[in-house]
Amino acid sequence: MTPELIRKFALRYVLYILLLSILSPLLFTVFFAKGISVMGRLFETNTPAITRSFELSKESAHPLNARITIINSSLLNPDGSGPERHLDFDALGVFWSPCAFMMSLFLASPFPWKRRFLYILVGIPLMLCASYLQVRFLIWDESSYIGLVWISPEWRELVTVLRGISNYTVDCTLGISIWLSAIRGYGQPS
Amino acid sequence: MSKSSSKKRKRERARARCSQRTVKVTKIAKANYRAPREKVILWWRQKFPGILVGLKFMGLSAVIYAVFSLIFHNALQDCLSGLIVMTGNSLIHVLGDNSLRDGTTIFSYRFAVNVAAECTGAETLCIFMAAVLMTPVTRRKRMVGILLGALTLIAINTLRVTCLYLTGAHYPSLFPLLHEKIWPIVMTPMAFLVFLGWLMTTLPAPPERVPYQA
Repeated sequence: MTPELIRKFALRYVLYILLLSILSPLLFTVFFAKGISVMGRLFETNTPAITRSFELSKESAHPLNARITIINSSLLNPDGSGPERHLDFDALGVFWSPCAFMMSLFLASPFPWKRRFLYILVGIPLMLCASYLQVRFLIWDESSYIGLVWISPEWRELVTVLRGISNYTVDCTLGISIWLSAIRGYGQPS
Repeated sequence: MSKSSSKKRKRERARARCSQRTVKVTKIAKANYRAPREKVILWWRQKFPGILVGLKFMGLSAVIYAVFSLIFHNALQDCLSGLIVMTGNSLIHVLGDNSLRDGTTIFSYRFAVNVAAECTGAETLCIFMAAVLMTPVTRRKRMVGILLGALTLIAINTLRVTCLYLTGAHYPSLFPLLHEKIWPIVMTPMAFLVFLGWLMTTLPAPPERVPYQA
């Protein structure tokens, strides 16, 4: 690894991150919103005990802002009113940005193109799985506020810290870790 | 008599050879013996050489982040926010805009920005620190790298806050786009780029190629 190689990598990386993170969501907002709507069905449930719904924002300025509504049916009043919990998040930030970050790392790496695409093909499902698990964890945490899950005060603090760590890991470090695994494994004798 | 004695000698020699071989085999076996845990680690390293490095980085950065958020949270937040607000406000004055600061807020009659805990850039610092700590260089170089890198990242974050304040004050319609979409995407890669910059200065220069002389 030489400084020249790192400089070239950094330049390519900046180019790809700009293309992927800034331009592609602006160009593919409609397409991405459809994909997220399909994915959102995974979070929906309608059982006698819990009702969970997923919807994207109707505002044209923020079409990718998502909301998951969690309702504990046993706490509802006869007229249908009662406590409910909302989990608001930016679908673009949760599902797309970490993937774009990882993709730009692989695209900028000095691998043959075939291998770059292979790593991206393996990496994207991993990233999406991690994002899905992160949202599942957030739903579980939010459910505890309306009596669907019981968390003791001592555990509450730990869950809050874990929430921060999971957000940080999925948003920032998972992409780098997958890339590191690939780049360190590449060219090593197996 | 002589026949039986020669047979005995032969047997003894054969036994001695056999015992010598056994000792040799035992020595080799002892040298090659690995505990089951060690075997698993070796197998894992041979099969998936990179995954351990990736997991190590993820674990190390998560630990640093947990330590930051649990132990140093309040002190670090106050210190970083204060520093960013102070330098950001000075920068805004240099750029010709009048603003005031109060605690973690920069404000004027036009607009106000509050540097909350999430806006201090502690996450990017954690990524950078984990990356530097994992690089195989001397401790001194690591310490210098962490110090200079942290200062650079704080400077970049100050620029971000200044840019957001000026955008909010002069082009309010662009503020949500910059605050929610563009800057969050820029900050994490920025930590990575600062790390690459540090790596370029730390790595030894490649040896010059000596032309072949016949």
